[in-house]
Amino acid sequence: MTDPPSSQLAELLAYMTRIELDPDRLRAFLSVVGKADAVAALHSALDRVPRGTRRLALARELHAFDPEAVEGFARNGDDCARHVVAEHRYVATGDVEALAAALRDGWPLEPAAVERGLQDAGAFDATLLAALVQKLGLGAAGYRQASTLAKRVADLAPDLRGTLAFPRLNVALLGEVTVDYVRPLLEAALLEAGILATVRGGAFGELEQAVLDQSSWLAGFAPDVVVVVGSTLALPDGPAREEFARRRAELAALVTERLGSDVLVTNLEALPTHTGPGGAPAWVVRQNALLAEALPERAHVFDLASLVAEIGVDRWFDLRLWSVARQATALHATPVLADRLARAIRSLVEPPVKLIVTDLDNVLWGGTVAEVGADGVQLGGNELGEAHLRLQELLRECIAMGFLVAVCSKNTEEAARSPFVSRPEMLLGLDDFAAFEASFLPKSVQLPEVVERLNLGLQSVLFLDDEPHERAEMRDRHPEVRVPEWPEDGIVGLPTLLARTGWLTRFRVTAADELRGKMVRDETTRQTLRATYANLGDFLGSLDLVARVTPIGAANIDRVTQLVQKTNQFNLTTPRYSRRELEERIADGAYTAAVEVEDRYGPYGLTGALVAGRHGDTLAVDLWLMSCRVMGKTVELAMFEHLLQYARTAGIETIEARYRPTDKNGAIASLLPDLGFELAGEDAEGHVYRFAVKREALRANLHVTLVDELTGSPA
Amino acid sequence: MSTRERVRVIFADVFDAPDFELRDDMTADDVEGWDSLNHINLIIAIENEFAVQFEGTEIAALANVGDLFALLASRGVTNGGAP
Repeated sequence: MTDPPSSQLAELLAYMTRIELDPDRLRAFLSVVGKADAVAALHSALDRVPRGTRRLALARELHAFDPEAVEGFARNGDDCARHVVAEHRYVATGDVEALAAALRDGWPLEPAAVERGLQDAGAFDATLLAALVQKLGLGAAGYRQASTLAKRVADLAPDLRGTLAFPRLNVALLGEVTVDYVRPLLEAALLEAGILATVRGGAFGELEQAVLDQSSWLAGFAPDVVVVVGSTLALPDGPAREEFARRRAELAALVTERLGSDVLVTNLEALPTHTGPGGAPAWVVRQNALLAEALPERAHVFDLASLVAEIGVDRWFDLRLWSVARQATALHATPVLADRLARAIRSLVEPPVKLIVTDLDNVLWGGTVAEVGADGVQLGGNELGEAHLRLQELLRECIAMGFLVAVCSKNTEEAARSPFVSRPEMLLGLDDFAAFEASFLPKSVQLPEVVERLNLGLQSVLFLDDEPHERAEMRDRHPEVRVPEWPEDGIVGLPTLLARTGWLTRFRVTAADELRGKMVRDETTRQTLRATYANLGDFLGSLDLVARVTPIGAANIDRVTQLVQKTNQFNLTTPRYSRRELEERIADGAYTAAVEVEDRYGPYGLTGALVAGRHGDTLAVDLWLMSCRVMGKTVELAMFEHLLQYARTAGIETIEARYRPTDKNGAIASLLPDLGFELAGEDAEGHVYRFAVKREALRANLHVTLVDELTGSPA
Repeated sequence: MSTRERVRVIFADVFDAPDFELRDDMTADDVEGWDSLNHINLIIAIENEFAVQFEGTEIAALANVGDLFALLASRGVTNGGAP
């Protein structure tokens, strides 16, 4: 039998979306294959591409052909689809509520929505404008986009000050070059970085004079941070070049003394004319090395040389602008410069990051260890696997620089540790971590425990997680924790994104930092993990969890079948029923329940299923599974509660259930005894447990509102 | 859209004046906000709009809007005369 063409197209689509996707190429491809095939292929590709930016790209394309299908996905809890529906609604109708929703959910905004946002920005309130700026990523914007946005930010400055509780900062730009172009952009970039700044700049060439002149603009401005913006272009050929580092150090000392500000000083960048071997000439390299040593306390190098190397001299410079206006970069390079300056300024004034808390699955390695096992996780081998190793390398460098690194993972301890033990490719070892948390507790509950154990505050934590839901929860629960967005190109782009945040920039590394890291790691190994979490109940209660139970039927059987085939961790006996077998059970009159879960951060979709057959006055649970996304939220208690209610009304006396241990389902080994089941023996299918229906269930620990769809009311 | 209109839209955008009226004899002195900063903004926006590049000396030598259209014409961008 040959595959129908749409299936082959879907294969090709899934392949095209394997790493990242150029929307133009995707669109060109779809336009060639014709509408019907395109729709079928997109549907089929969406079935196999998990949530992530690739799914987002496919959902956007499908929306163009079949908006109702995408709305259907959205209703079923697909947050990629929900984002697509919201951004499309905004583009089509200008509904700012839809924009606000699309800005909140952690996914990137499509270009048309950005474009419309820029047009409408004049009418936005301060909160929405700030959200747009923060989402947009000024550094990646074109000059025109960035300057439009900067204009709006300047217009709304008083409102922004009235609305946002961001820290305030005065930033002065002392330019050996023109700072007029970068100045407004820097204000917007600082807003993106979470700082309400007033940025002022002087005329170019006005350095020492501005600081010394009591009547200059600078004296009355009282800047918190002074940035000395220079360029190799501004250094005339001659002996003055060899004075560069010394002169800058003196200027910086003057600023800290007179103004009491922190100082950033740009170093010297290679020019397009530096075409000799090694790029920058020896005097530039020498002066940069001298500058780093010569700067006084509270003055730091802004590494312009590396930035220009990263962007490339061809893109960085427009030498006509230097001749005409003493503007040292091409205009399209100014947003990047503003963005990086903003990050550097932020890391000067913020409490420093001391602890990096990282997720494991799809961050330190590719894949889910509980699903594929330690041997199956991806480390090296292709560009994605190598990207995971590169991140480990980066974290090792961070540890060497004095950062602490800890793990927070929703996994069993055993699964979480296994790749560290059995995979020789791993660059990080268990000894490298200051703490290792693996449980199914919400991460916003795990994290404070870790932080307290390490005697740190949440304000010194950087939290890495590839799940938008985890990031949203962390930001909402602990706004002081720094949570970088996930790059659009996934793990491959993470090191660059982290560099861009500036959060890992250590302006000075001291011997004490390095020593401290080692001491904390030793201390932690002595401490025992806390078994109880006093505030877990409060936390779960505040999530407004709702579990909606419906019988399994035509509307949800596809999704249930998918869960049955895929779920390994929370799966009592792991039976792999086919769709047909499920249909037979329904026809036999078995109790069937499909559970959709939702909390205040949004829906998780259909994430649980239970099937139990009646044999006289006994109800035998044949299938009980839950997606790991909702583990640790007491959803299982709600499912059990629903089963019990059914049992009582149906005159059932005993509920029987089995637990068949596999490599993957160790996390629920004690589920049945915890619910009050008693071990009755063992047979070929596992450990047999029984529950007498007369007994009271553990309702007190239930933090989920149970909604029975049969009656439509809270059960 | 005619070349003239496309240029007018850029002026309107840079000077934040939607109804900006463009005249050939218009110089920087006639327009509020036409300083050296906005001069560069105009030129770069026009270069991007028409996918052309000017020399630094040409940019510095522009005296009025008419010169700008002449410069564009020298790059093959015509239809920029009187409406």
